[in-house]
Amino acid sequence: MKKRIKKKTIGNISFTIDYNMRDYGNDPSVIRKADESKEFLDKHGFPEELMKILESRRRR
Amino acid sequence: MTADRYEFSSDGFCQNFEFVSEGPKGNIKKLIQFTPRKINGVTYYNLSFGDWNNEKMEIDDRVVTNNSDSKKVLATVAAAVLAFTEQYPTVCVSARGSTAARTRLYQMGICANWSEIDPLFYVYGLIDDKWYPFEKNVNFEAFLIAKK
Repeated sequence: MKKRIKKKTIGNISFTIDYNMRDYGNDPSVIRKADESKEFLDKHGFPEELMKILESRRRR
Repeated sequence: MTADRYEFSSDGFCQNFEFVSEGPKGNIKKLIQFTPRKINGVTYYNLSFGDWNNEKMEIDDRVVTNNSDSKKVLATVAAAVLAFTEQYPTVCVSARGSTAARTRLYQMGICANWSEIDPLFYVYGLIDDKWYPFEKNVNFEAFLIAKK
């Protein structure tokens, strides 16, 4: 049976993992902002240096 | 990140984060969400941030809460970005406020935590249709962040 909550620590950051937390991925404002970001990045692209780094990670 | 911040919780996937802002306006539930999108075969995640509106049962990303805790809120958002990128170290995060004022807030948050952010992340800002490595005292329109 999955734990409902547990503590997680990254460096000096501690937070709670709540497996029952609601997924807000379908919230209208979240979807709108994500779609707007895609439109924005379609127009402006990624920085060339960053694109090379992301593509090299994709190839691994 | 050593700045004063709120305790926060995340879902099992580290893509949804919640915390409660406490101040003169009361206790306000704040939400951070990382949403994947793909461009030219590259998956990136968009950062959304807003207040939970209990009447409409949805996130409001345009409200100005004014709970006198903006530094603490920004430090909490920065910690959530760190937690997310720790879970997904190969991806890039896009951050752009729903208004220019909110984008400026993101910029202030990056500046305030820059000494800790710079060793860990590549940060780029867009200005006049061009991306530049982040620097202080420049009013960028959007940000891209990736773990080093």
